[in-house]
Amino acid sequence: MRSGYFKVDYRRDRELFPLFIERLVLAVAVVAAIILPLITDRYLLHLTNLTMIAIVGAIGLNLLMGYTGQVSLGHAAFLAIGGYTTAIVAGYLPQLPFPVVILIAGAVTSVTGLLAAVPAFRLKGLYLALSTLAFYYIVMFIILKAEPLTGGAMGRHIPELNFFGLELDGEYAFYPVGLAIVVLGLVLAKNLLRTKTGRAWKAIRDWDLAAEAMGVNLRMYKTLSFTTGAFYAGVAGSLYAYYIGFISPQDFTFTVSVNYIAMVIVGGMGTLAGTVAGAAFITMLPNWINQLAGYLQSLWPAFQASTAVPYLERLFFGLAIVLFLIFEPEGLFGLWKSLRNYLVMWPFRY
Amino acid sequence: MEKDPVVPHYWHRRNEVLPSFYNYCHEKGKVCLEARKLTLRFGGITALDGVSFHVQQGEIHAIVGPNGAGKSSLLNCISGLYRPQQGEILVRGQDLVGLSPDKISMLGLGRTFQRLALFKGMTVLENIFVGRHSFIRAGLLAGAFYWGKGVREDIRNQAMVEEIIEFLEIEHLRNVPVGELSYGLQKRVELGRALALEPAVLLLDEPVAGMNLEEKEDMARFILDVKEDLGLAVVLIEHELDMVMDISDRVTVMNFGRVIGEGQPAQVVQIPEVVAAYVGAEGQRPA
Repeated sequence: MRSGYFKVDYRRDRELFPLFIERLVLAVAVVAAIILPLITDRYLLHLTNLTMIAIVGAIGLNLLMGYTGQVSLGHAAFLAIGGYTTAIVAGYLPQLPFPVVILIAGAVTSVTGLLAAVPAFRLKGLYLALSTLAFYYIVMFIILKAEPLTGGAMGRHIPELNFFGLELDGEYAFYPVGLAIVVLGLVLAKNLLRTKTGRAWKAIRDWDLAAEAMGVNLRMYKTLSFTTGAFYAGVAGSLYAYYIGFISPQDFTFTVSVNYIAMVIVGGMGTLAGTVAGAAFITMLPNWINQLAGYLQSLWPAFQASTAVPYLERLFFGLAIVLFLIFEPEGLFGLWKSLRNYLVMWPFRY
Repeated sequence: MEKDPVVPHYWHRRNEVLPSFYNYCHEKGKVCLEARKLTLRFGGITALDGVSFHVQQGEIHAIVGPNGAGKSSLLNCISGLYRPQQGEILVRGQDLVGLSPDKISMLGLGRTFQRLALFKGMTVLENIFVGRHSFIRAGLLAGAFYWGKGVREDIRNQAMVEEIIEFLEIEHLRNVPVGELSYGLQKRVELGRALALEPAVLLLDEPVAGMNLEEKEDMARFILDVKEDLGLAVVLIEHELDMVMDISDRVTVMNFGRVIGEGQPAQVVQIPEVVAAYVGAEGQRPA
């Protein structure tokens, strides 16, 4: 146990950042977030924005999968519902301020989350995963066929972010919006997890029958988990739609679901800090692979970077998941935990 | 900063109005749990065959019997995991049969499991905290914004959890993930989790199975403390007959889904059927 570290009331005991080293990292992160748009080019900022969108969506999946233990292969469907709700609402009511539209998108997605939760009353594990897969295909089918609303396979345009007449366009305008939503999403999720709802979720994940014997209503809390996860995904889908300005079913393929699962696993199931790292890692990965392919081509002209990139992407993707599952099942957060414990204990070696 | 109201000591809280039936059966000797003619079948197998028994407040009531006698099935019927085909389980005049386990836990029945059923990914503190679930009203939104009354309520309940941790003498382990604890300590945490429900009846399914002597003695001491200090009724299912004979006030013996004997420990071992079930049909107990 650490010495020289005393807490005198329970409120202190429940702080989000109890360790000095964690506060230090937080301070660095705040400074970095402020100066980032000043020092990066547009492309890096674009990737950062995509990362922030992915973080919001991945928090939702982590609440569902990492904290409640309900595997979902249908996360892309929730993103799609959020995105299309934004397209429809903002399309018909362009004067509506964007926070309202995002909230509406989240709320609508939550309601569909209720539907996705119904199979979870009876199914677990693989069977539940299959039912969420079915949910995904049903949703995508409806979106394809509801052409008057969604534009079908042709997709739909979304107007710019509108804030009481002020139009926010481009990477630099989106950055503060995305950052605010990410911070809010992280804080709300963290709070949920240190109170009754989060404890009930974790109890269901670890042993559902025991949770029920402790007074947790399984149906209610599984449903809450699905609706909360869907809410986050809906907000992420809405942000994505606003940011890209155009969505079609191509943006919400099954690969997107798998990407989100990869973020949660690489980051660390059941950790929020890991979710941030995992989302960044998976979003940045294609960029790194592009650079790698370009470098290989310069070394070896016969190497066709443009044709090889999609395959390389899949290769590294699978490799990342497998390697993390084998060597660091706790994900990037596990790496940070070892480092943190080392620094806290320093200079003593045990 | 405004102060939270002082939390009364754990075993003083029973005078408050709680969603359990404390107020009904605080008198020692009063019947607080009664099973009448329970019958439970799985297909062609009759696990329980007209089982009746009752538990009085402030006693340790052991249920013993050979493997497959139906002890755990009985406990699972009481806590709602199984639904008996016939019979009733009465608590405060209310029939529990057909209620879901979470409702039953709110009526004042806390239980532990035969095999460890702790929440492996959570710390000792969090595990016991889950037991406070139905006492906390602040829900999803109050939790998400972590503000005001909901937080104070949560912290008051944490104080109660800390009392239980103190009672079970595991203060030094409060932030340790339960997966890292030894078997005996995990069983103790499980007892704590059941106590957090503020039960009137505690159902313990083999609390000392697989423990070494010291752990067994510790657990026996805690079970006696629960009875003496908290005044709960304890239903104890156990194969460890030495301990059962030492600490229980009444014993029900089961075999093949039937009750074959009931009474004080010293009397029960004289009943011929009980002797037959344990040491053979001749009925000669070794000296």
